[in-house]
Amino acid sequence: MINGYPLSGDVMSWDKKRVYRRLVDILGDEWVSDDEFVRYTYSYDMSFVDPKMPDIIALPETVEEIQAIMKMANEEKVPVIPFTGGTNIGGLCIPEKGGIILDLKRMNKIVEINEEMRYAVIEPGVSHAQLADALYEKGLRFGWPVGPPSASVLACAINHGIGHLTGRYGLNSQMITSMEVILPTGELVRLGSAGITGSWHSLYPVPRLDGLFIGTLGTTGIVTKLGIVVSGIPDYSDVLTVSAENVEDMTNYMIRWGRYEAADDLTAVSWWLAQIPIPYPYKPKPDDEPEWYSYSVITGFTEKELEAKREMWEMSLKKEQESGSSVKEYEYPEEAKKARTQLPSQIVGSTKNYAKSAGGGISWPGTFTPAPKWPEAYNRWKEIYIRRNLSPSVRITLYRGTHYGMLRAMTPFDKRDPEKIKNARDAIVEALRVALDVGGIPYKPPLEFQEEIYKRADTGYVELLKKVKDMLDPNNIMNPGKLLVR
Amino acid sequence: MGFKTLEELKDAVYMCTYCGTCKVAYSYGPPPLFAPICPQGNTFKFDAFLGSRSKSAMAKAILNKEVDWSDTMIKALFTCNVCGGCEYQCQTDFKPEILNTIEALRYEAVKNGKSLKEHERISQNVLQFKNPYGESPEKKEEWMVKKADGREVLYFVGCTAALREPHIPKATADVFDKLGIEFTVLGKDEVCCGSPLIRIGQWDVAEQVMGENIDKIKETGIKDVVATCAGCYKTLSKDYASFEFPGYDKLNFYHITQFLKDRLGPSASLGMKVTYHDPCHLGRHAEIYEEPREILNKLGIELIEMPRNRGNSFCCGAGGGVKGAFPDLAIQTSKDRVKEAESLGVEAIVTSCPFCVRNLQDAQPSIPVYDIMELVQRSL
Ligand SMILES: Cc1cc2nc3c(=O)[nH]c(=O)nc-3n(C[C@H](O)[C@H](O)[C@H](O)COP(=O)(O)OP(=O)(O)OC[C@H]3O[C@@H](n4cnc5c(N)ncnc54)[C@H](O)[C@@H]3O)c2cc1C
Ligand code: SF4
Ligand code: SF4
Repeated sequence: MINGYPLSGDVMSWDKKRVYRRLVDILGDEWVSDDEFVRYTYSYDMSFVDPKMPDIIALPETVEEIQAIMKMANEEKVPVIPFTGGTNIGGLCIPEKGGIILDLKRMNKIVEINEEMRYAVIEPGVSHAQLADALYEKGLRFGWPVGPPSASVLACAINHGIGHLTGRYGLNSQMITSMEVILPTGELVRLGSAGITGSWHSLYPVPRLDGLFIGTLGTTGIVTKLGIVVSGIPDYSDVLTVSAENVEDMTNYMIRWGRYEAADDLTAVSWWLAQIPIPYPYKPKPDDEPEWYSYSVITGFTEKELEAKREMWEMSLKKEQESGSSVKEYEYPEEAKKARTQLPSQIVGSTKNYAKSAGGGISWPGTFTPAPKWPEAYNRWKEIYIRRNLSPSVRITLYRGTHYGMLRAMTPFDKRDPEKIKNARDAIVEALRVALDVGGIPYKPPLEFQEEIYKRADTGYVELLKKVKDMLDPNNIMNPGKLLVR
Repeated sequence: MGFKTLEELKDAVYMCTYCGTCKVAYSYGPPPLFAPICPQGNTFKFDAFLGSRSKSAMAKAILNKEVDWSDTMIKALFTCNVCGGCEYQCQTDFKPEILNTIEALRYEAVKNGKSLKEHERISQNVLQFKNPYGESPEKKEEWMVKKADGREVLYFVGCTAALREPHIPKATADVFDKLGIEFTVLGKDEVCCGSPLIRIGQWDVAEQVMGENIDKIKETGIKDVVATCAGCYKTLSKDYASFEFPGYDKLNFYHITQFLKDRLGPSASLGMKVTYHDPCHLGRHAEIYEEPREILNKLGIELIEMPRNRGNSFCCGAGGGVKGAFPDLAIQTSKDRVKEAESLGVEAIVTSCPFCVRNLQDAQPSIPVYDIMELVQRSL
């Protein structure tokens, strides 16, 4: 029981042989496997989440195939888990109740890039690397995460992912223009303008039913096409870097400078996250080095536009300094600068900066937290992490230059040792409680986080979520257990 | 010293974060590059077949005794070209041990009685005939038009060139003559360098032939050994180095492109437009990227690069024992590579490895495939 809500039923029972045969009938035997090693490769990710084996892996290529699979899965009452890269850092594709993993990598078409209207339509298997390559040819860009270039753009966007343009445009989920989704019961639905006129330009002014499939961790449907806003690559850019002695000064600087909404990305990192790689286990920061470092990426289509932004930044910095802040200009090491601006990046994507020698594990308490509360949360996180011999490698990023943003601690750990996995998990969950205390909410949450969310969530919200899930997925076959309410 | 076992690689395997960066070729650029890089993953698609991520999973599964060897697992292990395309993408501390891990997994499979019959034949052939093709050792001299008993360099011809692509050693010998380089060969005494055996996990036989080769090379008293085969070069210069063969450190190994680069003067321009295919063993495994390009430049050849070049080169499909055991897969991969070359509107594909030449030709390209030595020969 979580907050009075029972966890949903037992592990589901279904006829594995028959389901396998029916999948082969739909896809052909080339694209279905129940081999133990094949399943093993889909049973874990880099996070602290315990591995669990799926029963069957299937690789559909078309919308019709997925529709047929969902209809069959409903008849057989077998769980289905959508999977693209499995890099979500939250065990979200690890099956809680067994079932079929639908690996969507064969659906990798860029359906349209509309240069004039600046949107693109993509399938789930399109990676950041693939889209970056295709958009660049047309002088366009999207918000690239600091994650693996091979991971899915669509999976990132529909789970409130964060790219390098969040300072300017907000979350990648805020860039969605239209959606095609297959319901758990197999019906095909188009949402936004695509559902009315067939044009993929906007989610407005119709009811925002797309919300039923965003942030739901693959538990409410399978998104098969996504329209996203793409923007022009500006001709001029600069990276403005500062340091501060403490998180309070850094937060105040970011809030002041952020209100101009002038930076593509406005991020700060603690000393531990600025190290390459993150010290593991914890090592103290030398006394003579600042504790916080920030970079702001500014861009312009003319030199004047860039200059105007730089002027606003200088003004903000000056005002902060006049108020006695320790914030000051600071030259970033070249590799650190590259890793945060040249995205998508193999360096950060393959976790070199984070976990180079830690032992394979990475997790995070990743939250959206009110910016004025960052200092309180960070100071408490720091105590927790140091107590557990982990580096408080924290990142804060303002979204749309406004009032809230990312607060997360990238946490490497050693997967060879169960005690060390537990230590990291405990630290992260403890830190998460602190974030919730100050108003933060975790993103892409593994079950351990969701337990904490539902302990505090409004009853009406949880009841509605259950009703929506029951309506869309009456047999609870879509990634069951992952949204915890079902 | 010697080959690293899976157990010895355990710590490195655990440096893999399972991030999947090894699944595709990507570089920031600008302009960015995105392309498939894993030949086996490109075909079989399941994550169990794709990039080094799948190999770290396999290593963990075997080391922790979590999964038993199955036919699919063996297929996932042996359809890998050991090309290193995945390794090139990875940035973690697993990177330097990725290829060693794949080879150690294969050794482990062989030890567990899971070797492929085609691979066993290669091993038996080497034991019996000293070459993987099962040809009589005398045949290794058939390409020779005259005796070669120079003292300056030892030309290590390699089995594939001598027995399957004789035009390559013929061209090389001619070039040596024209440049006044006095060379000799081991001829029928040349033993397989061990490359195919190391890649397919037949380490016991590999160690035997490696030792034999070093003894034969030392007997000549020549210090400079030149190979035209990328696989022989990589094996002689890298794999042998991890063994403590007495006298090995006194020998110098060169790939022919390294050796000739500064010995070739400006020549009559061949006036061709070609593309260059980086062999995995020469490029990624030995980091020889520029020497062949410099030679093409000296020959007055216009080089048009394929999108996947140098570290991001796409394997021709032959390596890692794939051509022997999965010939259709090898051709399918080389067709992909040939298509990339043909789309450039060039006159020919040039490479610097007889095994690549052979497999690219087997894809029946619409343009000729040359070993670089054939063009050098033409220019002199
Ligand atoms: C080092 C590192 C840094 C990262 N940094 C960032 C970052 O800065 N910003 C960021 O946003 N992310 C980041 N990530 C997380 C992740 O890499 C990205 O969000 C990525 O794009 C997710 O894609 P994926 O293919 O791995 O998704 P998966 O992990 O395969 O899927 C994520 C979720 O989406 C569901 N899903 C997948 N496809 C569908 C579909 N078609 N329909 C419905 N549900 C679906 C899955 O069931 C799962 O619940 C980072 C990861 C790493 C390892
Ligand atoms: S091999 Fe390297 S790039 Fe591939 S998943 Fe492992 S760490 Fe990532
Ligand atoms: S070595 Fe080549 S074939 Fe093998 S996994 Fe890596 S990229 Fe794929």
